[in-house]
Amino acid sequence: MKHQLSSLICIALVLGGCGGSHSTSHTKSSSSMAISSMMAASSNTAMMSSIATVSSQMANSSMAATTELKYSITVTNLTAGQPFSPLTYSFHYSGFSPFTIGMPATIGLEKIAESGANDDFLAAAMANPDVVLADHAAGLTLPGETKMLSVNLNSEMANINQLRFSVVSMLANTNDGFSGVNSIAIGELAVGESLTINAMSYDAGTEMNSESQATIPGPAGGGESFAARDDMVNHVTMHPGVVTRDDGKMDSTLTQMHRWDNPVARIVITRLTP
Amino acid sequence: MKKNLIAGLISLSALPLLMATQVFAADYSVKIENLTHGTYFAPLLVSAHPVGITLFTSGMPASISLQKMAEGGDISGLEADLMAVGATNVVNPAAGLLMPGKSTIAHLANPAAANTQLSIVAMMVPTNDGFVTLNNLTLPTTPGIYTYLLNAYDAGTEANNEIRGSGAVGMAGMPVPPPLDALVGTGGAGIGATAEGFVHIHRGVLGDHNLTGGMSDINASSQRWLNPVARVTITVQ
Repeated sequence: MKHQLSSLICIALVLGGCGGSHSTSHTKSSSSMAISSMMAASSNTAMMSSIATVSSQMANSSMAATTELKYSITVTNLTAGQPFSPLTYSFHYSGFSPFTIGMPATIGLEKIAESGANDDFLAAAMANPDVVLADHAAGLTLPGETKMLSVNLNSEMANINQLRFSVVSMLANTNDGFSGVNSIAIGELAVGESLTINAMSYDAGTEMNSESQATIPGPAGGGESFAARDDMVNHVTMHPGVVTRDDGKMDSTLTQMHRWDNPVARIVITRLTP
Repeated sequence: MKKNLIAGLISLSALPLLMATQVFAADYSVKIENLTHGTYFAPLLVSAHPVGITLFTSGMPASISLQKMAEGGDISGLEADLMAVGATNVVNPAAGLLMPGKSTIAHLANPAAANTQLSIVAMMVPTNDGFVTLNNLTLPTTPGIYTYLLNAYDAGTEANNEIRGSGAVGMAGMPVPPPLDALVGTGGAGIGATAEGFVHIHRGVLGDHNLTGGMSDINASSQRWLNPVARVTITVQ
């Protein structure tokens, strides 16, 4: 009975992964999807037996409390003139999210989006019990550059399929623009598999997009970084883009070189053998 | 191991219930998020409709109903067109304008079996004839959560002069509903433009920084956008 039950669970997990190609949200809400997919497949005996083999291996290894995971992450800056501040990434479960569209930015995200400084963001992330690992890459990721990271972490065996990945980084030649991916489900990735994501640009909604020299911390301005919230919007949205002085905003320190369109980054997450 | 067993028991006990719902019905809810920084969505029309119906075809002229929606936010024409083919419509789920950063949910429940396609449309304000749309998506049938990103289109029926004017068909200028009155400029000279004549991906707005003059009544820093402009999350139960 024990074996039958765990094999059913595994089918649910595996098929949940198949259905997940359209889904960005995997956790509690997707459990019904996984279960019903399992129903659809239960008549397929070949599938049943092959998955049952996998499940018995899983049952054995689940005796260990945690398992070691390894991922490689590459981030390519697709913009012409927007350096990315140090990539700030986290592996986590559903109880953590770097931001939510329509909600005010956390102070940690605000500091990243306005200045690239990630201390507060990382401190808050690491204090969250749903965060397995939070860290940042060294240095800027310049336009055209690809940054490669290799990350080892330990996840509780029972929670592996719930694992998510997030990364955020400031578009340095903006007031409070940032890019990244938010809570991408990576728990169904098998060793050798990878996910490729085109990342969008967001506006933290914490600073007016004045584009003035004094408020742009990147090389185009070299001005002030973090400041008190002065954008009446006070919630995260997609970024409207920059206007620049070449398009009529005469007090902008930015030029046509600093404009961009979505996507601004390509992110590839690959699961490796630990 | 204990955790696995408990999860397994829950799965088993949930099976008969799910089986029943899957065989006899599906329940669709459609969440629409305005992702833009400063562009409002006029009343939304969310419709499950038969295959073979389309709100528009890119590269082709807009229908009069689409034109009414895109120039003035009036969805009644499209609503009637879709009703005539037996569609299940949810009209104006946000009860007015859907503000930037906000979301609304249209509950389609269990649309008739023939209504296998989903379309969503709303005017984008302030624009002359810009709109956000999802056109003719085949509704997923497997229970789960599905996410789609939507782009901004231009109906091609009105010149993008970017100044205040009329929302009536064929009349120049942008309608400015009361909540936006203070956010949209006045006295712009107008951008020299002509109606394009066909539906296409919107090229974006220019705007300026002169609230009482200049060329445009749109704010260049806060009311431009980059695609995507909306996220749709369909939950099938």
